[in-house]
Amino acid sequence: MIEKLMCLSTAPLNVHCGSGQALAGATSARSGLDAALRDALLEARRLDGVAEVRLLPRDRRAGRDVPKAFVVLATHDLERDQRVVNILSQMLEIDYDLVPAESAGMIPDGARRV
Amino acid sequence: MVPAESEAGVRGDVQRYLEGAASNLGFADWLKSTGRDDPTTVGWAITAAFYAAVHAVRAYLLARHGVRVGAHTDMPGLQAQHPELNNTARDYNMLKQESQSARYYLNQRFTWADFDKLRAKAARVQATWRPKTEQALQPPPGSPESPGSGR
Repeated sequence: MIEKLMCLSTAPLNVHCGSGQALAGATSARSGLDAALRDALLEARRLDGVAEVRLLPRDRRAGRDVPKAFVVLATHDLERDQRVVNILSQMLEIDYDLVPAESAGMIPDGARRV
Repeated sequence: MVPAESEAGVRGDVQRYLEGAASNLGFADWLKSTGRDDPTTVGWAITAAFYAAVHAVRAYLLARHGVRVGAHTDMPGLQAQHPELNNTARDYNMLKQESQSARYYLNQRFTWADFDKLRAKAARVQATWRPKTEQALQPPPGSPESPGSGR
């Protein structure tokens, strides 16, 4: 049920071209993300079974504030997870977590959908 | 190769890291051997496998570069600073993320089959860095401690 709701709630993002570009612009304007980071988040978002990506603009890490992404996973797939990790680990300027959809309520309230 | 300053301390800490890597992997295997298949047990086995990787990498960084890692959050920067770490970065980062997912988000989807895959990653990390760590601990040629020096 959760998975179905997640898919419904993120359906527009599954249309990769037009809505993805509009989303990218909106995300960049809101958060000031650079293009590479924005693209990485969107690439992760498009992977099968990724329900959504939420971004907390600033999260204290090692004494400095960095954005933190929460990748919400509708399905369980280690190979997909590895792809998410490979994409986002290249982005040194953010931290990120993999969150099963049933635990999405644990994500801080300040995190907004990418 | 080991920094001259506090060499005995460095060697001792490196040895403890190596032992920690091996014992965490052993602990992970023991958890599996208990026959329990509840999410907490599987999650902690995955976490122990991650710590096997943590200690293996920390042993190498200390022995080879004299770097003491203060926090998990230091690792992305260290992976960029020491490019050889890219040999195992994908495995390491995957273990970190999945163990966090188990611990902090109480991910109950993990199975022992998942553990087996993640354990293999931890074993690769350990197998990559242990020999390089031991090599870094060898005294430089010509030093009084080196083999064949007559001491």
